[in-house]
Amino acid sequence: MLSCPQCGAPAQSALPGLPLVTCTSCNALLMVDGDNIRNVGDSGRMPFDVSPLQMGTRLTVEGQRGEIVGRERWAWDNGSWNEWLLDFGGGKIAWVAEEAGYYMIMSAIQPRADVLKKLSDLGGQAWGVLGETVQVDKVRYTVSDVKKVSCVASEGHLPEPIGADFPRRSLDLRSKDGRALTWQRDAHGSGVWAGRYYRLAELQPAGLRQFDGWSMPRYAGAR
Amino acid sequence: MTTDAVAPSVKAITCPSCGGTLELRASGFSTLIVCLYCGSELDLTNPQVKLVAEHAQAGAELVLPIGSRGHLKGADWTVIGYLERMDGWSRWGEFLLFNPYEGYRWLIHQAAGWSFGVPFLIQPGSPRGLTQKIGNEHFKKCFRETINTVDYVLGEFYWQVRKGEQAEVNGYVSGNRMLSCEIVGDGYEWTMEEWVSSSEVAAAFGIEDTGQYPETGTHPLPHQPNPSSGLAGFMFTVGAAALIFALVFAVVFGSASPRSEASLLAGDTAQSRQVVIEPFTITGSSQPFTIDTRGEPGDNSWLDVEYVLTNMDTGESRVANQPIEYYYGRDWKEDDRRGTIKLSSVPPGRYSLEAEVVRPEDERGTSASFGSKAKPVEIVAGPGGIFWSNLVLLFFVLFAPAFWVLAKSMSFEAVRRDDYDYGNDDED
Repeated sequence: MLSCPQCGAPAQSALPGLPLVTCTSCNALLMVDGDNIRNVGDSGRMPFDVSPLQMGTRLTVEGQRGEIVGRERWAWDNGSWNEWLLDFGGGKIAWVAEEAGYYMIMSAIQPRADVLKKLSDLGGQAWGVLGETVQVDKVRYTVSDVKKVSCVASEGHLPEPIGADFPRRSLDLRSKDGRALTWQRDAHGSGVWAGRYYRLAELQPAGLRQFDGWSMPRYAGAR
Repeated sequence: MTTDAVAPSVKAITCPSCGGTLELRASGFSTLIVCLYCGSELDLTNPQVKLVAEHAQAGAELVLPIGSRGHLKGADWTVIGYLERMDGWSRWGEFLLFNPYEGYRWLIHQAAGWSFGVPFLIQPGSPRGLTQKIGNEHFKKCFRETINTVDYVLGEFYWQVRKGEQAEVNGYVSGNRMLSCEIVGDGYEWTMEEWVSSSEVAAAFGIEDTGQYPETGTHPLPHQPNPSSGLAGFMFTVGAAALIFALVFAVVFGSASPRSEASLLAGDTAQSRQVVIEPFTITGSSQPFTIDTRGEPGDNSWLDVEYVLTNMDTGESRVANQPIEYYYGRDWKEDDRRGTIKLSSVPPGRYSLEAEVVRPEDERGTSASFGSKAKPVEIVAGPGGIFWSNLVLLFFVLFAPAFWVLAKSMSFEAVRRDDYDYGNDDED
């Protein structure tokens, strides 16, 4: 049984490909390697919200069932949002960016070097990039947003040590048919994520969070 | 490891300006709340509520007060925000609805009625085009781009909306839906608005029916369903179906009955001018009785064939006559050498038909024309026959109401289009 080196509370063991866990009692960000556990930072305090997702919620994306095992909350100048970590098992993960009723499900992709260069050029600029287009795998994306973001807090199982105030640069692109592309660069490197928007009902959710005064939607499965 | 615990859905915050307690209903999503008591703007971007601007705005009395609950379009909603916008022509209210599982919706209240708006995340096309295409559906622009200004804000929002915020707006209509695009700076906000009846809104939120065009407003909304067009279409369809049925019925049942023929050579003897054709049997229900007459009255002369149709059982009879004429001059001609008589609704029974030809000479009662040429007359008679005049009458009976409803429907469209900048007849 692992315990938090900071507060001594019991800690969870790591999941395959997700070496980090957060301490539910002191918010320490813990790196777990077998029986070895060390404190690598502060995960921050997750603020209250009314997201219907929670740890353990199960969603189906393109026929594959996954479970929510972690979350990062990010903020920018004019707002903040949740990025939920959906674990399909076997090291396959996706991020679920939440936008009140809409869920953008993003998986890592490896674009060609020239596309990667164009994205990082655009992402590095502070302004004048809105409306620029990039073609990836025959899909044409238009830059909709470029901003500096920072992590408010993280919780659960995570692939990288990202805690409170961790900064990141991000470039968001959209296609005409509702697909999305995100380029990100932070202290751990850069990456490109592609996906599209879903409504909650499309994801056959189970184990949604219950709220006082609200009935569960009909499409919600039991725990 | 999901938790079955029921989470609170409302978070209480204190207005730093007036100290009033506010209920935050979309925690984590809202970034701004305008205090219901003092109108101060509070920034919710960070967990620590920050006072943006202090106001002393009195809370307006809203048709749907902040916090109202309702069930509309298949889900429960709570009203969390309200703003008023105006353009050069009108002013309207927009209620922001929220459900933690469904997200945000808009309920837009204009003078002429209500719309239910769903945020649209796909960008269909250029936000300034004349049309938009979604799937196979074409949306057409009806008004020139307008600039609208936020004039009043109350409650929670997912962006930092301020009184005075301006947006360029373009709307595209298809049926009862309007796709609208608001352009603020570099950002586009697309919303799919569906017309919703004022009675549906009233029932959903338990308020009094606020009415809709034509009770309120001066023009129907561009996406308000025409109350008469569906009915007009339905009436035309039913009318056409009934008319086709009547035609088929008339042709199939009207001309199938057996008919009898008789030929006369109307000469000087009375016998040559008379004939009795019998019997005709009409069974089932009443039927028309048709008599076709054809004769050669001679040049510039006439014949008259007098008919008596007698029911052989009851002795009841009906009388009709058919003039046969042929007149001509140097450059004109009146040829009525054949004619048809239709007796309507002859009840079932056995009948005999008497025919007697009257010649001009018989009329005069003279015998001066002895030796005049015998004139041939041919008669074909029997039950059945199509009453075209009845079908014309039926047409009017069936379609007059449909045309009336169509006229109503067209006048609704005329009032609607009167307001349009595009797709209106008077180009401006």
